[in-house]
Amino acid sequence: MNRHYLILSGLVVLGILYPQAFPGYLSVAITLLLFAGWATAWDILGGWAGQVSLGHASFVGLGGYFVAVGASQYGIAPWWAVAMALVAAAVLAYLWGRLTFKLTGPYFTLSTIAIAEILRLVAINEGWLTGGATGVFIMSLPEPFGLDLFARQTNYYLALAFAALTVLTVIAMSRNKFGYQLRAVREDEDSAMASGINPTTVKLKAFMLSGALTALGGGIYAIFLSFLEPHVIFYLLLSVQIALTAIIGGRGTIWGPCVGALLVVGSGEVFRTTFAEANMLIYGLLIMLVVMFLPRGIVGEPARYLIRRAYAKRAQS
Amino acid sequence: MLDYVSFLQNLSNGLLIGGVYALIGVGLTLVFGVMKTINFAHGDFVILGMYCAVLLNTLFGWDPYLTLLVAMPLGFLTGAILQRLVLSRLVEAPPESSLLVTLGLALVIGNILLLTFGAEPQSVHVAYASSTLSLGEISLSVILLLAGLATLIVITALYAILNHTELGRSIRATADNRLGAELVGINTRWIEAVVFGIGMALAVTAGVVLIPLLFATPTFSGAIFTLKAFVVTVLGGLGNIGAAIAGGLLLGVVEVLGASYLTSDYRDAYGLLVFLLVLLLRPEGLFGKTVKRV
Amino acid sequence: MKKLLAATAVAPWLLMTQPVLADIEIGVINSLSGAFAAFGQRYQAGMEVALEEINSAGGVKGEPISLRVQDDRSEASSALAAVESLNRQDVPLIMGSYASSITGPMAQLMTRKEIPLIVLGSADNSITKPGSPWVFRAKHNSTIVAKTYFDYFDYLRENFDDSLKTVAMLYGNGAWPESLAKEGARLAEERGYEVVGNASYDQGTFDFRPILNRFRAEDPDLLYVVAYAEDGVAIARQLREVNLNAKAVAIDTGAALPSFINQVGDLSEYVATVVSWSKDVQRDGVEDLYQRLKAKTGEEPTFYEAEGYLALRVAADALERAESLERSDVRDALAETDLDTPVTHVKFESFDGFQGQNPIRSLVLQIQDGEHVTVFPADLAAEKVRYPTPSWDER
Repeated sequence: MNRHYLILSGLVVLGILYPQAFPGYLSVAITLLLFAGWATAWDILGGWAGQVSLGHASFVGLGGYFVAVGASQYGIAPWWAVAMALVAAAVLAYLWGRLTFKLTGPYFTLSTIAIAEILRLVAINEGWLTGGATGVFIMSLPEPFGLDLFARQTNYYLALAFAALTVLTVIAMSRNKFGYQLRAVREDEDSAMASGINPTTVKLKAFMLSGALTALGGGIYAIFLSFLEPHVIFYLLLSVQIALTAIIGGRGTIWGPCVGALLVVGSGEVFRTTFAEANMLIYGLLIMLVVMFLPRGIVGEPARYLIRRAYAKRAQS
Repeated sequence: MLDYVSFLQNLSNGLLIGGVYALIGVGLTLVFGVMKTINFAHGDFVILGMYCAVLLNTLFGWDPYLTLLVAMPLGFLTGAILQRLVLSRLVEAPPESSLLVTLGLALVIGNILLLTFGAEPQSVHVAYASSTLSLGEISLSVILLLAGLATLIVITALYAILNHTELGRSIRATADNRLGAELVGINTRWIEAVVFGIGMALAVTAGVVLIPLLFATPTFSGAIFTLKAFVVTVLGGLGNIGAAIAGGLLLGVVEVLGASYLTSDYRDAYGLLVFLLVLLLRPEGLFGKTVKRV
Repeated sequence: MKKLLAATAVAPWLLMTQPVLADIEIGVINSLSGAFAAFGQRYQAGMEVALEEINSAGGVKGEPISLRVQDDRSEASSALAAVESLNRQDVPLIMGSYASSITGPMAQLMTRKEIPLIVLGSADNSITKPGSPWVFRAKHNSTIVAKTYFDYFDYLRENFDDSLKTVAMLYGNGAWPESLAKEGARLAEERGYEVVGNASYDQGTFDFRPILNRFRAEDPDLLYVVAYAEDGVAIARQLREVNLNAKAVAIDTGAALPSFINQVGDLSEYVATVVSWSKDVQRDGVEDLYQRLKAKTGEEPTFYEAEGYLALRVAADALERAESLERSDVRDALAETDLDTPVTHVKFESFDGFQGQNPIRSLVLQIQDGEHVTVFPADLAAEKVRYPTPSWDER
């Protein structure tokens, strides 16, 4: 399984070279990397643990707001703000999971929407905490080692590091005990319990990891936009987009969410410039087609085919 | 302290709004009950109904309620066709696939509407838009009363179909036990198409009934209606028709009383909080049968 | 699927090799799809009217101008990608966009990239306060609009009814309604009004009865509502339903649209609303502009179209005066703007913490006999204010 590390290193090298080759295409690349990271992080809970969440925008918002409010109101450096956001996101995920993990399937999904919507209303209405509906501007940030954090190049490398970190986490996880526990819980909680795994604990860990990583991306997103409005960043549609990205690519696979991000963000950008008003329509159709014809995702479907073929061969010999 | 008249006024407003919510929710709950599909495009079906009323009103000057004659059958057909063409392909796919495909469908419907009707909000203005009926010191909105009446008729009719016709028996059989239904010779694939058709017809009806009250926007309000429908359905109990009414009424009362006596900016949160409580304490819904879920 | 993937991978290269046309190209980032498309389309129509006018008058520097329009899908990250895309095409300036959540990030990025930005639709204070040397806004902002409402209330108090005292405020929880409400609350205190009701609602709400019933118990003299189209209509209808009577009713944004009058009917009479432009404002060339906008859209034009028109007029004027099409020259020319248009006079100034902001005089329209009529400020007004609003029983 070392080849995953190899692929990742290759991609990171390509990623490092990208700004030199395409200096005028950084915003799209940043969005793509952020979505790759978020979708991968989402997949720890949604794919590996099998709990489909439509509330991950809350974690993006949490990370974003720690950085934005920290910088604009309390003068907290973004790295400290991100560190606090990671802790806060883990705590939020813990409480959230404690509350809702006894629900399964669609019930769990619905509960995530409800909690995320309540958090959105809190972010909008509690102006003393978040700056309210009118949003927060990040006007200035410290410059560590003379590095301009606002610069597109810096944003880009931060996003690249974030995406690489999440993929690295998932690769490592897929091979260690925790990864096997997750899959056991996903397949059958009762049998997992029978083999001494506590499903709730395992799911809680997955949610905390997933939430914290998502919040990390949220912090980078905040610097990228340098202006946050709670309506946008806590929006249900963002949660849906994150989940869709992972699912289109292939849930529970290492590279699926990244491929999903490439397709969703990439096609979104191409459609935006080529189909004008019809671009969202094409995007919707694309989602439907992928789900109908590649129900396990772009990576998931061929992977399943390969695995089946391998089994068949082994059975024959 | 509590002003008695204004409390009754708020309570009755809450019940009337709840009637509207019930109408939005009942189609979703039916579809879930039979197909175990969470239909994310449900709110957009409601919007389709609104545009149907707007179109017939601008073309022929029809009263919105008259357009139901066209909208309901059209909704039924579209729903059945969508089910055959799209959802029926997903039987073998992972359970979340239907949720995703309907998310895609929601985008498609919204944006087709955007391209045909433009983004400008549209509505039908009726003379009775802000008329009220007085009941002592309490005044009731005529439009909301009509909507409540429509809810009552629709749900009674649905109840009659489900409980007193052959089709209804087949639907209930499919909902209870798909395999068993197939074994006794029910064509469950067609039942599912019919059910999705009915679900869509109900959503469209809700849209038509709401148009004198609301605006139709192609891409904005669909998700809001879908969310309300979810809350209603879960409050009542997923898959339970009668309980959708109770869920709707409860949601309406909670929202209106919360907005009246607490603070209005958290209006939607009150409903969601009750929704969460119900999910956690009684996942089968307030009025659902207690079944052990496997 | 493979083809699609291939197309996705190839597309950026295709975009890069697009041929460069001879005329002067102005960048536009507008919300043509997604949540804000209704507004985006109106701005687009206004810009097209200005484009025809400018080109038939000989263009800019003797060359015809054209618009490079990019859709931002009503979201910030697409707008940022569009800024980069237009930057590669070397446009001298960019106009955009509607929502503050999109325009804010655009303003930040364009300041860093040193591209002049003419704000198309966003009226949020934060765009020009503190602002930047690269960002210009010819239309109003939250402070100017809120001030216009309270100037109007003061005018009513001085000329008609010195007992005006209490105000109830109702607003959506979006960025614009909230910033107008904040400014409104501040001004109410400053000018001696008593706020007896202050309620916000989540967008998408269609039942305002609980709030309006509460307001009715307070019997406010003035009603200050900030709502979008859908909510505005619902609120106006329900005012009557719950029998809430105020001496003057102001509904921002929602009531300024022609559809408001169609949808609300007689109930819309006496309602006041603030806009940046109206068809009967006492300015030169207004009638002509009104006819052209109307011919373009086929329906009653609003201040949205006018603002789109205004933005492009400002852009063309600056390009004409700029020493070259270099962005710094264009920026300098924009800063020197002193332009009279049928919409408003434009001069970018720094005041009260704003920068690059046109201190536009906004107008109050009142709905009279089924028409929007300019009633305030007095020197630009077409008709007299109708005051007070009769109670519902008397109508």
